[in-house]
Amino acid sequence: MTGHLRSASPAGPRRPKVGRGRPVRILATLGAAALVMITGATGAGATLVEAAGINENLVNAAGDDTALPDTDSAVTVHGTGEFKKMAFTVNQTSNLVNQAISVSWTGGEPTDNVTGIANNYVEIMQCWGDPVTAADGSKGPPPENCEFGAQSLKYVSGTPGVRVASQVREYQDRDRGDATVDVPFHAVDGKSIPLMTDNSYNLTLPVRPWWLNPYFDYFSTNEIPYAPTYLDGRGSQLFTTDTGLEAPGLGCAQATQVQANLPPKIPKCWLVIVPRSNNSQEHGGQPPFDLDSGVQGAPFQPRVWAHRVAVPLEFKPLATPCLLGADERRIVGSELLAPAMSNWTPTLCASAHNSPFNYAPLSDNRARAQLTGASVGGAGMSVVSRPLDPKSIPAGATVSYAPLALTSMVVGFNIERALVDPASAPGGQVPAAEVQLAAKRLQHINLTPRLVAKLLTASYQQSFVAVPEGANYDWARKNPPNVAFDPEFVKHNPEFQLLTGGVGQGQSGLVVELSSSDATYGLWQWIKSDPEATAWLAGKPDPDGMKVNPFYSTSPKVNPSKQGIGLPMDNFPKNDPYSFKQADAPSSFPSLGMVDLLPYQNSFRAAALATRIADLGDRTVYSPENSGGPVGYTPNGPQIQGSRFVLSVTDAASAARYGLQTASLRNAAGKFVAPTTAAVEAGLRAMTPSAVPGVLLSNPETTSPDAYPLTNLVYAAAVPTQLDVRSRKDYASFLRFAAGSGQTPGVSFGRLLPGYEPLPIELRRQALAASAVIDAGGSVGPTSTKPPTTGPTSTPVSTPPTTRSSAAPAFPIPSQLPAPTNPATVSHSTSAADPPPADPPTTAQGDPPVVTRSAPGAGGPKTIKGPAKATSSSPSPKKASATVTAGNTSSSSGAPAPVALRTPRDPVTPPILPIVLGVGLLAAILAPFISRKRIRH
Amino acid sequence: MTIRQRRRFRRRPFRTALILLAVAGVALAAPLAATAADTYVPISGAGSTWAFNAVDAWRVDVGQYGMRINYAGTGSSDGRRQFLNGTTDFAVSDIPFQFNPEDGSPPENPASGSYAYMPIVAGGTVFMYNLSINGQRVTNLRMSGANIAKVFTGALTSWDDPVLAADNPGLTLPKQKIVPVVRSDGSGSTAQFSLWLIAQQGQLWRDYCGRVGRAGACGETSYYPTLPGMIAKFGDLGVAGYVSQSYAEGSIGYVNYSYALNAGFPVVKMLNAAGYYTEPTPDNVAVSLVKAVINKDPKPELYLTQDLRGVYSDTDPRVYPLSSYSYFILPTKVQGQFSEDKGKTLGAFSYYFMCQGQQEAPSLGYSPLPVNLVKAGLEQVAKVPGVNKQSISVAGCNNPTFSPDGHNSLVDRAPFPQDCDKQGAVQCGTGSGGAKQTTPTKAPVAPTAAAPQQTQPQHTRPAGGQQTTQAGQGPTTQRQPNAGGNPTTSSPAAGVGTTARTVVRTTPAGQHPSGPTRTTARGAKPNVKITARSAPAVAATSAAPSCDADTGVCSGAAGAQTTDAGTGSGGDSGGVTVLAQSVPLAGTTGWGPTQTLMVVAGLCALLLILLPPIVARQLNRKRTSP
Repeated sequence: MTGHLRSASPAGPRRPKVGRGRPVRILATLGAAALVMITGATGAGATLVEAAGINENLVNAAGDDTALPDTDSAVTVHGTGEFKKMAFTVNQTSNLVNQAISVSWTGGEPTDNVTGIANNYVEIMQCWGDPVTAADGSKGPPPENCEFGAQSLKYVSGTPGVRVASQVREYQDRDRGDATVDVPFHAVDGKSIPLMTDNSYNLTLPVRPWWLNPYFDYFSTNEIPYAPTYLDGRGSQLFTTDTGLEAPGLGCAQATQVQANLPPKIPKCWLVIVPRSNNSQEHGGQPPFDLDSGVQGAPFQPRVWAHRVAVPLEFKPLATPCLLGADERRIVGSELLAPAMSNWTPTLCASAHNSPFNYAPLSDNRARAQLTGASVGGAGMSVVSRPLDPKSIPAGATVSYAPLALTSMVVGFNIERALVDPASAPGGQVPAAEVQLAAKRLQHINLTPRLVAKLLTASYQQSFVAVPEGANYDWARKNPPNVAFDPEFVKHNPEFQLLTGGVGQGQSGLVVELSSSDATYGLWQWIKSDPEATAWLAGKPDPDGMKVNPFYSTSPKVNPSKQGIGLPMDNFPKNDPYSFKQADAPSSFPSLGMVDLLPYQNSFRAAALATRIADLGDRTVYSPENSGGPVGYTPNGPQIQGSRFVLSVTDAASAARYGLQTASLRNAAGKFVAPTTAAVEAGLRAMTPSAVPGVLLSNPETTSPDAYPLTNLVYAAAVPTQLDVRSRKDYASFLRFAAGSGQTPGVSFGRLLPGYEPLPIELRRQALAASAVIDAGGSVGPTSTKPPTTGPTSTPVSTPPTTRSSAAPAFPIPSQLPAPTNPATVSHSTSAADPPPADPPTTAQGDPPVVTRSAPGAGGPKTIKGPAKATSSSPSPKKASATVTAGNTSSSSGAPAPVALRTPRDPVTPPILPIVLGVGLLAAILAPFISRKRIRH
Repeated sequence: MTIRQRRRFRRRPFRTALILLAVAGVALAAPLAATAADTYVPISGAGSTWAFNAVDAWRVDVGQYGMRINYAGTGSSDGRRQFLNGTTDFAVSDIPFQFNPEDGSPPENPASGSYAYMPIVAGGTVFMYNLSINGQRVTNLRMSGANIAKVFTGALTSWDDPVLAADNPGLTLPKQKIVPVVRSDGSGSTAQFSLWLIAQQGQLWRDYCGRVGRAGACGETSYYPTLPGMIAKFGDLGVAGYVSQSYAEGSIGYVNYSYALNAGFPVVKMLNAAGYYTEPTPDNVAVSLVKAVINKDPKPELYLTQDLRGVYSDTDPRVYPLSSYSYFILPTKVQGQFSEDKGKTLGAFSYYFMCQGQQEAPSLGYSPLPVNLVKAGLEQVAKVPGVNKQSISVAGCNNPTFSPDGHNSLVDRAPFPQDCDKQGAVQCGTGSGGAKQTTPTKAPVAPTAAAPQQTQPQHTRPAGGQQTTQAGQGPTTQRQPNAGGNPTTSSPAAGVGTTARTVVRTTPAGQHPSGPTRTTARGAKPNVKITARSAPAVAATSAAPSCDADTGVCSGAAGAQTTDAGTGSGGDSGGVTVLAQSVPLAGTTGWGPTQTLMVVAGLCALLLILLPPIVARQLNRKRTSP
């Protein structure tokens, strides 16, 4: 699911309220009639041109369109009554899986207080059920059927979450004497969950009302209880559509048996958007209960619910999951492949010949060591970006490499516009059009290697709680407070003349992981290759006088340790020994340092999630009543909505998963390049050969102007001679899948997720060649055409892929599996339910990108395309339709997904079952012939 | 009699038998088929950071089975608190509920019958350190338990202290301040460490307790009391993150082994009761926990909890003293936000990680659970409301420690430490944890020939073991070489690989009278497998014992086939129930109910295919021959 947008803390300045005394009139036509299909692009940032001024060219320079692009099934619905000016656009409403969709709107009253709980905002939720006609005549799912109210149960530092007034399922009904109405949750299976009180399982827990809901909790809910409308009347949110797997209470895409005597049924599902206005209107013109708390009560109160916008959602049928209990085939390695693998594995296991696969993300170093180390419990296949050192490979062993996935490392960000004081703006004025954009997310930023170096070296003043006294920290006193104030950053991101950063570590550093990786090594290579960055790290101030934190300097003369840091590194050290302690903290409390101010994350994925929810995980506040224990600090919690500022180092797929924007990085040609398809493909073309033939190395130093410098290609590596036959078959089959249909972009299981680019044909052929080598146990069979260098002592896949026009069919293909490039074998897949490998595209490198971007070069969130479109535009339309349409895209025909064809396997079965099945099949085929003959006689 | 009649007469018994068989087959196969169509509702958990790296991996793994699991590593104390508040479906904790906390934190009072413990993974709590000598990172540091205790109680403050030099004869430790790094949050690692301190270094701990103002509350604690000069960080990630910094030179902090591996840092080789300095490799942890006493008292507040005192003092040379288990706290009644539907998911998830998921434990830095704990754990899972009890049977469990004869296969093949890891004048230069690079050591030094063996342990298996193991069922057999494979992966039985395997004994034999005697060539003995504790005994009684220099596995004369680990060993006594002892697993060898079921299922499948044409034929015949 997308990161949970926690409610912002109520703290923060409140703008004076503007009287909006329009009487509430409940208009009543919603539902299907109100749905307007649109095909054109909507939600693109309309330029607000006002009186020309000195700063007009800066307005929205960084863009504000953070929505996903519209698909064929995009829908725009207008509000009713007091919200009739509002138009809500949902970018995709059919062929849905568990994915992110965009909900954008225009024409709203601006939220009174973006940073806190206020008036005029939007609540978004997913519901199930046949449409019912409300008292006012409007249609849609009943309010009880909506997944909402769990965010308010967020557990914060030892106490249950604050129950924010409008994020709950109860309300006080003004029309019925202020009676409190609890709205239970009606689950799709017929059960109803009331607000309950239960402490019987914990004798120390005081009796208090809890809404303990088995269907969803604050971890799993996809509700958005508070989405602001900005001053320009627009708003935009990413919403995660949940299937029955994620939200069993809704059961979308999942057949659920409601009554014992009825057949299971797939429920109708809805996206429900509830605009909230100011509280006096919501309370029928009466004053609210608490003037300071803004909108109150559940969105389910009739007066509010009447204005809901209900959009039907059509899901793809759920794929049958893998059968639990089968022995898994293990692969370990790069985090860069982890998102792809988690989307591939549910399809991979559908093959009757495969074991299910298991992927454990490890640092590339550990993955390399496990391949040759013969360590206990090692996996037979490792995934790495850089090849193994040939010297580390035992004599006689040969490592086969197969390209698996093309992706990139990114600086993901979540930055919202905080305006400068007009006095600080050029010309002493912030243009009105810019004011209209306040608190909106930035679409793109540009970063130079030196800026990234600054962010990784704790060199901004606000890397510290306060710059320490003393000469040792004199270097910091003239440095900018944070990156938003850095003239270099402003130069490359001119809108920041009008924007400011707040206070905190988010603006002063990058959220990073503790582990090492080859991708991180590439990041430092990129920094090292930049003369500006190198000089600055060595101690030379930048043109504006900013200096490196000496603890990170590459110069032994500057670095207090008398030893410069060596570049490139494969991790992110936090070298400054700074420590502080809050004055009021007890003596038993530990002092805090850099790892507390901007803590490490466990993985790229965790870093992306932290960026999405704008929660750095820092715990620096001493709070005696709330501390977790005798020496606990309380978590600082997420940043306040409206002025979030978080940057992280993560992988493109994780950034896409969590809807992060991605920075454009300046390459060695001096161009700022976003990780678009074209730029990543150019990055691939710029890669250089490694010491191991057939394995390419990332080239962050490339001077190709189009290349994204942090392009990464990950390889599967295996030593065929160390593997038994079964594992060789499994790994070979995996590689065929990965080089085949696994390269088709999409969000459905088995597809290549956004954040990855399909491998070009040469690399896919190379992977197929490697799969044949692994399949054959280290060398290909005698009847096949061998790659020239194949042999026990050389790297088998060293053949330059371009030398062969059709390498794959030449290799022995296991009898059970369709040949990767032979269309005639496709029909076999129906019996075996193997994921049919999509044919490699017939054109070479540079195929039209299948994943379109909202704005090329914008670094916006990766497009999550409608699966139907993904098929039609897949690399080889004709053949793809023969293989892919058979099952994967079956929304119109209703045919089962390919995994549904899977033959359930007994997890412990030795070959008995297949043999018996084979005999049976033979008998079944022969039986009619025999019988006919006999009858004829 | 017409032809048709004759045919029918002839066929009737056959058809009747077919139908009967089909009915029986369907009835038997039904439970198997049921597992194929399972759907699961999402569940959420919170707790231990020590176990986080394993739980998080499993959480992702089961996505392909249609399960959606959430897990937040917020510390064991927080996990237990959330479980009690009903805001999480399960908790992960390294220690049980604290009914009577001895450190001043509020008591936890779960209602009896509302929860059960289930061990989920084993591992070592390590002391990850950051130390250099002349700019060269030290990777082979060794410490006795007493010295570790002194460091973490403020009694040992400089690395050049002579008592540390005694541990490290091969190193000239620098004059540098020791900076102990502990956990700032409520932590199961802290609790395990404090239990060890109380049991093994009681006086130091009690003195310390008084000094930090906790006199009278000196028992187990999840909150480490600190002195000025100590550093406390949140979570394993915080401690590992701190220690790995360049400014943290001289620091030493306790974390789960996996964090040191991820950070690429070395860990202290800790002195065990046998006089060897060890680190918690998956093998060593498995050996160590053989002596863990698992409480069989059926009271839920005690059942399956661990008493590790036996581990602390175990005299197997491979033992890592701070080995322990982490636990799931399972709900045993519908409570809070927990429901029966969630119980089904929890059961399936548990089955996954107790069986298949344990295979990746070593990759991640943990050690797989032994058979008996998997069985006992799955019995605990059966108490969870809504669990599909059929689907959590131990049959078919792909746990890597399961072996045909019921032994913990990790224990069977765990290599013995190198001679230079024994307390004495010699010190190995081989690295540890996530830093495998060798550290130069002063003479006398063990020959470097031993170094590669450390990272490429040989896995001896019992004779015939390879034949009866499920083929290709995981890492144990994946690593088995092809016949005639390269020397580094061939088994001793192949008789190759005798080069560079000589271990020169540089220490006087009298220094380790109790240790196994080593011979010099590893190819000199047949397949032999001896359990941890029986090894020294055999070595002592055998006139001409033969030991493998790599695995350390020793045999009596002529390679006695001591395959009955522990059970036949006279030394295995002491009055306690050693439940962590590996136990035979019925049904995994030979013909058992599983196999019968499989054949029946196969026959059913055959019938499914055969019946329609047969029936069609019959019908057809009726039509064509009226």
